Amino acid sequence: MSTWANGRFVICTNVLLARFVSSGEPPFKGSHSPNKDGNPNPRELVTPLDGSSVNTNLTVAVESPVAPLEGKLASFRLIPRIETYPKVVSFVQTPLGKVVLLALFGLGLWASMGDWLPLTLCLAAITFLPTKRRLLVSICTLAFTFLVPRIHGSVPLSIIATFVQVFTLAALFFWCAVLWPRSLYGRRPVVFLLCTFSAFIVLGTILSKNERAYTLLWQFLFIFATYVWFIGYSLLDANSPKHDNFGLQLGAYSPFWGSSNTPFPKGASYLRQIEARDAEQLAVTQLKGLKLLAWSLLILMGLRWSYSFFHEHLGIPTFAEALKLSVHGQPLPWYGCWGGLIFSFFMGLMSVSATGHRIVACCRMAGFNALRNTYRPLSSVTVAEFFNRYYYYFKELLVDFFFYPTFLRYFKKSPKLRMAAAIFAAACFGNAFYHFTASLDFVRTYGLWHALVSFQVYFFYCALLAAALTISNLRRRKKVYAGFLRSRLLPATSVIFFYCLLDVFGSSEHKYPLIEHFRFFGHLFFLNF
Amino acid sequence: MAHGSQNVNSSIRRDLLAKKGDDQPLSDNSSLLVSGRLDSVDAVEIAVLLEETFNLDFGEIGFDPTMIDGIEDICRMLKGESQKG
Repeated sequence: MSTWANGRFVICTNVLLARFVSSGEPPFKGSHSPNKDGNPNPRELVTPLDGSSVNTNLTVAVESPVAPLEGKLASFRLIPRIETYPKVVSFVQTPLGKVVLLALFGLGLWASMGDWLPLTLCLAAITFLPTKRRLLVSICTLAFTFLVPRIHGSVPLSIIATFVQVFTLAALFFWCAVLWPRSLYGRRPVVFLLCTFSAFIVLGTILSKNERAYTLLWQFLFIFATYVWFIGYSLLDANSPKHDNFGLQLGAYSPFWGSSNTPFPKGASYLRQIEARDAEQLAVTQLKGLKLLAWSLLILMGLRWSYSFFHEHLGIPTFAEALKLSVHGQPLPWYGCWGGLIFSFFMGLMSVSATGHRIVACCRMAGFNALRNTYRPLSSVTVAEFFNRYYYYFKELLVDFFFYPTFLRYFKKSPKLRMAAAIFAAACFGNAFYHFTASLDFVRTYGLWHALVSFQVYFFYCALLAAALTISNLRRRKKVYAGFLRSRLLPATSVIFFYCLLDVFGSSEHKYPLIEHFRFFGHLFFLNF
Repeated sequence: MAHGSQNVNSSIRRDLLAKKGDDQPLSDNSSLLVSGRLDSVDAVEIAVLLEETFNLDFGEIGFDPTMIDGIEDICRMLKGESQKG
């Protein structure tokens, strides 16, 4: 390193450390990643229930009076920490161990999803050929895009052609960003991508439904919409000097281990960082994957049991049912409204957890030590922390595409305004844009303007969420209370209460106007208007 | 460079990790962000500090959290920028 940077770097790092030390802020996310030098991560402790690794940053108890209680809880594990047993780790590195591990994992997949067999076969290929991992990920992903759907029936050639068109467009975007990094496009490739995407949507709403181009364009748009954020991550990677070629980027486009429109786990750049470097790391990562799949199955069982018991046996309505009754002038009593709201909140939480755990488990089984998507959200003591823990990869998407660019470019002279603008860009605009463009069927059916009007409730939800996150972040360096009640229980309960109330406006059905949601909100507090 | 790295290493171990009960060795190539040790708001705080101290503009040079994921990454990024400048 040059002399220029050396002296100043020490000063800078010391200032940096002083800021963090004074903050006393428990960061947000459990870590499962090894160090880059291959050592086990020193921060990995034990979670009370599933025995997975945990970031010590999260364990506020280290220096708080609740340490003994949490210590006792930490000693209880529903799923043992098999990745810390040397004999198990050694066994999993043998051919027989790999077969046993794959068989157990396949059994878990069989119990939780369709297409478990091709997925297990892909994981087997990657397990036995770890040096070709990234290439195999691309091949398996393409197989899951073009071949596996044929198991369930023939796929029209026009659909396959549309996939090829989308990938060709993605390649064009990527190569242009690589070739001309200093051009107007090269400096803002994601902006160009999202503008192109938006322009196609507008065009789709302008074209007459009788035109052939209308059908073709919407077919293209539906597939483009599922890949747009994956392509975006490729474009973010294009500026990196170590970027992967487009063939490897394709492996992260809705990868074979599963994904929603939100890339799990981010893009090719992230895969490079979290890839297992040797046989031992692979074994540990895969054992963690197996544990996470078991945890996913337990949550899935809990979800089914809860639905059956609370909804079918006790008759607690879902939020959608309670809202519908309210809209039709027959609102449930206040406790029925609360019951529906709380029931749906926890069902949603369990559903997101089970699905996210299964996808991340498969990703880990492929040799990538990805962080969990949902990580102990109910222990969050701030609104921002819950947002981090509930749906990590969606939060990361908003941060990478909206928060960082806004924060690093605008309002540099006003720190609070800078933070608020970046949070609103991500949690309000980015969140709304993501969900609006993910509901293209709605846009096609009702037209652009009516779709925008129908999204009024979700836009309001995004604005409320962004405001709460801004306040939460600006307050994040404040005093930390001592004692379990004030430091953990009350804040955590308040956060859950807030997100439950926020869910009144988080409806994704877009059926009713905002006033109907306010009316339901009033019923919760004995108000009928 | 070696002297700077040692200072940084010992400061992180003493002031940051020890406070959080983490007494394991810390090397220059340990991950801070990708591993989840620090969050996105911490990342922008690091970025702001680097901008203020080294007169950088991440809005221009582009920002990727992996650029500042560890001490080694920060050194590499600063070296690259100093050579450009």
